Amino acid sequence: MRRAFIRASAALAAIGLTAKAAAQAAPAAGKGGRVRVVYQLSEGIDQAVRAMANLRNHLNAAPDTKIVVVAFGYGVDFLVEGARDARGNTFDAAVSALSSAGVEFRACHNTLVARKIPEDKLLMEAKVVPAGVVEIARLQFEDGYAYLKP
Amino acid sequence: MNSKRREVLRVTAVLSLMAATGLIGEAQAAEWNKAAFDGKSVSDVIKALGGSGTEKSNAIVFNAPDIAENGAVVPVAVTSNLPDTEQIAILVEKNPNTLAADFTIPAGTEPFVSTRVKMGQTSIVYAAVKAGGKWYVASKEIKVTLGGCGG
Amino acid sequence: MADPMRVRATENGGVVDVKILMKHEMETGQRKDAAGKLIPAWHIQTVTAQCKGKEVFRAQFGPAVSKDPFLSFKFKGGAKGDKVTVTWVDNHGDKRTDEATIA
Repeated sequence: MRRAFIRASAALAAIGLTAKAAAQAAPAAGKGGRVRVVYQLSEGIDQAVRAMANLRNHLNAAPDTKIVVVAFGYGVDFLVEGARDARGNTFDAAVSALSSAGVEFRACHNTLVARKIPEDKLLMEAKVVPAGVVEIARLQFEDGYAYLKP
Repeated sequence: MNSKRREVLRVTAVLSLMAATGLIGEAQAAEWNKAAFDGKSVSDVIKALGGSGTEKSNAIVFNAPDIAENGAVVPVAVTSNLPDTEQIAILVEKNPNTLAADFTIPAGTEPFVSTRVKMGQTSIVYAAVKAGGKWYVASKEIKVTLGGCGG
Repeated sequence: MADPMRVRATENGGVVDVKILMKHEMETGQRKDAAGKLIPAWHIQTVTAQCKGKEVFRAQFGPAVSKDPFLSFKFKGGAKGDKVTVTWVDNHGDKRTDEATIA
């Protein structure tokens, strides 16, 4: 009986420990620390144009937010040097300003290969990650990033 | 004395000594043309850059947006088709200090440069080129919706 | 040392295209802080690039160059595998040197 009790207590203690560890691994929301957000861009130039405005508004309202933009599929188009929007404007100025404000731009390598876009044709502010979808999942699951698709 | 200040003093001392003994040219020791960067008008700047005036030229290709939504980051690119181009400068007329940047083109380097500058307000922007010892300009007005110099 | 700059150099048809992204505040000296005091100017003043011991580009920046300066230029005489070395010096005497291999 006593042995069973000890075994049960040990088990309960172990569960308690692992629960606490899990809570500490992914930073608890709303308990202090920066809000982190990953923006998914995968639709093309028009979405990117809207996103540049969203990102500016986001940082104006919440300057402490850590934002990572992950671009894959047609979402990488705006990161290619010389890309222009419907009004003929280039993206370099917007990407530069956001980058200087701490926004990171990550482009999917699988996309670059599939669409034959040379890495050295991307804006200097862009970094390349192996796979965009994996990066988005990882940022949410492992680093506690909130997901946003403009 | 903190280590950074000590380092600056050390570097300055070494540079002065090197300049004095002729180890490096005067030009290298005084690398930044303060007079040009203090200039408050196009003519001030050109004078400080050693020119006596400028001549308009169609051989200078000046790429810049008509409207800059963010005055803090305005992309500009200059290609000079003038022979013997040795220097390219970017001037923003209405900025507190007119000269934004100055580029030296050594032999073997293309007469081209691309960079991003701040504009405080809508202004005429000049691409000045020194070719064959003479200064030429091309210009365009860039409208700014949100000024970018601060203050 | 200051934050590294990203340098990219690609050769095509004998011309090397160099793109540089520097990390620097480029404080104009015009901005005021919360207390109304002028924040002193702090900016890159000179940028030089070398390839095979020869200077291939030189730039003088004023504070009106944008934060995190971007610079692109092209030169002849470099081949794939050669290194392009870039150095900037700011008005505090801080400097930064980075390089890229021509691809």
